[in-house]
Amino acid sequence: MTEERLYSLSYEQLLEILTRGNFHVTSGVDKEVLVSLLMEAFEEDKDEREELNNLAIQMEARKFSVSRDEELDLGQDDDLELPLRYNGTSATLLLRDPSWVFCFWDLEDKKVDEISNSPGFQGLILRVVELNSKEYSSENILDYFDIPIKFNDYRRYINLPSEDSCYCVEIRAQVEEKDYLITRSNSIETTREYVTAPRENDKSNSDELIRLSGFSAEFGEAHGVSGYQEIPQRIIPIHDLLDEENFND
Amino acid sequence: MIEQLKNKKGMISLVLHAHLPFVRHPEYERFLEESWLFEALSETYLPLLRMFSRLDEDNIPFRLTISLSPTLTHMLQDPLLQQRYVNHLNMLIELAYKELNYTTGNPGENKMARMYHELYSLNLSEYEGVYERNILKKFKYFQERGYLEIITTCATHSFLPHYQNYPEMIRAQILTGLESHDRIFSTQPVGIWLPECGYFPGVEEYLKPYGIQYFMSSAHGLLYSEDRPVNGLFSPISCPNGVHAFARDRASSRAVWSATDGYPGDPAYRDFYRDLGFDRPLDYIAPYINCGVNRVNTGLKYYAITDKTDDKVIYDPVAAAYKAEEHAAHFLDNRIKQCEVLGQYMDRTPIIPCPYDAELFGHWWFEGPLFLEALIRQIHDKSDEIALVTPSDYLKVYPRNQVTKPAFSSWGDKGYGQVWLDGNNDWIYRHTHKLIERMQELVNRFPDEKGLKERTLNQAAREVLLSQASDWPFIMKAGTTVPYARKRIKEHIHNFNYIYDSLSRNTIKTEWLTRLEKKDNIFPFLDYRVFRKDY
Repeated sequence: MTEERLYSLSYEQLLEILTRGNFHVTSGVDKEVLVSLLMEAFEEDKDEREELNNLAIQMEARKFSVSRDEELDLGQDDDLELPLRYNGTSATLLLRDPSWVFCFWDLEDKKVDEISNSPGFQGLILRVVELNSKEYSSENILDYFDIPIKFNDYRRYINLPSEDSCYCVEIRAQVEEKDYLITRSNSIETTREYVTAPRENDKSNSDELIRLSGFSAEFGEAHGVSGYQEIPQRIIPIHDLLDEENFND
Repeated sequence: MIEQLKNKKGMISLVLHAHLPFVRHPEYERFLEESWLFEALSETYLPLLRMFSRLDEDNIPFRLTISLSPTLTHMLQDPLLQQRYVNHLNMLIELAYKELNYTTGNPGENKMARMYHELYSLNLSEYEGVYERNILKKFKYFQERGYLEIITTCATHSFLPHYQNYPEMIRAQILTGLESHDRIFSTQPVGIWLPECGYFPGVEEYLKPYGIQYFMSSAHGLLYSEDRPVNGLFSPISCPNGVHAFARDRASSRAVWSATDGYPGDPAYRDFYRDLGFDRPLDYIAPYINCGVNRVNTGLKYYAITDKTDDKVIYDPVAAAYKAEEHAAHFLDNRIKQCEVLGQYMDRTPIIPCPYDAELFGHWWFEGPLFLEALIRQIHDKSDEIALVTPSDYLKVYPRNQVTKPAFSSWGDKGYGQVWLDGNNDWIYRHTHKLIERMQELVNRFPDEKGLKERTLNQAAREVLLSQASDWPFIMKAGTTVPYARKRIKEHIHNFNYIYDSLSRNTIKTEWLTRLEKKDNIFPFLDYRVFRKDY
């Protein structure tokens, strides 16, 4: 959005955009002021986004870059309203990264009425169940923890305690001292974030070759590469990977 | 050939992934986002073909892997978009011509205007005269010459890990991609590009039945395998079912990708950001920008990167070409050194897989195709030391590789699924998952329809696939053209739900359906039964 483009919009349109952006402007202010407020806001927004997005995203985004300035959302996608939910009873779990999952769920209206009118109903819980295999069975449960939720909650990100394990979630109703299953999600398998230890009879030079691959300087027992900072990006941030430096000098 | 390759210091495998989402809007006379395709054609695909031709003429054999996505290949064959590309080129030729007059007092800019006038005129004459508007024929020609290994990707470039609960959908994405490829190139691809290098354990089971031998993985996807990969990233691993994973080498990626210390940031190269669309007075540039008021990139960029200043120097194509050759030599020297070191620790010839977004070369890094050409020529000159191979060439030399399972990963920010699943875009999955469930329900309800109902069901299947493109959540996360990305997802969901309701009520509107078929006309061969469990 350029200054020229903003000037081509009507006074009312500018006010509308500012209102959408939570700017409270009293009517009667000059058009120039409105434009300058918006330009400042766009600049801030752009800076913030650039800071948040890493280089990888910026690189692929070049393909979709048609303008130096970002487009302004004038609400052209608001014509098509999608349902907030589909009035079914289900829960879905998606693995986002080794530590976080995204869960979304829905409870059928009939079910909600039935549960909320049950005598002794105390609330809903989201139970995060750790399993020792992807197949759910009560014998496979290793551990679980509960998160209280409300009827108008539909989604949540959950931090998982264990890597390389399996999880599912359950929506449960607490009635008096007990809880009852309403729906259970699919199971997901979390992932490793480390290079596994060599096998006992490993006579290869794997330590050296993994180091030359740019990963971890120490080996031995399943040693992880510490956290996201070390995970290679599509555009790799500058950090001191000695061997890569050697190869690129 | 096998023994010769075994005796080299190393092998390099360049893998280019060419992809754009399906963007085609016949309902508008001009549509801004269609320029994604036009820019990629002008700056990447045509220059790459030109480079292949030069190498061919000079008798320099090469082996390059290129993944051409089904959405891209469909658009490249679409008569409406082909005509629009011609219009686009004519418009740019007109602008460049106008610039010749405008810049008479500025020799530097005038030289640039001439360069663009010649470049766009060449693009037009080749596009019309040589390729007859269908550049895929030329890619196929180079495949038949043995220079290119063309592979494919999923139908609409869906980020598969976020759909792993739906085996029929994963299969539909892969199968439709393969069928699209087969119809164009008359071959079954031996490799596949998993969209965004998005791997989840088990995805290989969907690849094996169709003869896929390999896919590309992120580095950590391979290194965090169930068993440690004994050769690091320098030989592929075999999944237990025999499909191989080749991982991206970090050092060579960094040399090209890094926006800070990568080659494309050299001061001599053309500046991507400084564009005529923002430099000329509005009334002058109006006919060449969006609706005459929104300043957009025109593609005419006159300045070199110089440094972090607004006072840029005029681009010098000769100096930039020289620099590209220099960078290619630097890149190759480092890869040879890398292979020499690796060779001390390995019982086989190391391979350095270098997968890149194709559009990096030319579109963002204007001199990228020159770099690639120089690299290929220099590899040819040093062919006693190093070889340019495709992943399948490597597998012919070393068919047996360590068997283990890679780990969930992608090549996106932070290495997993965050780019396609965060607060900006997570709302889509409630809908796209529901669409798959409803599609499966439709397939069960209407197992063998004919006529109008079959057409309707096929269109429903198209809308399901289109809603899953990884590009839309990516754009929402990246923050460019977000309204368009949101609108596209919503439209496909809406279209599907409308069909679903119409089929339930048995009130299909033929006219509406025909309009939609003409608009979202991708995969005309698609059979909705691909979503059937036992397909």
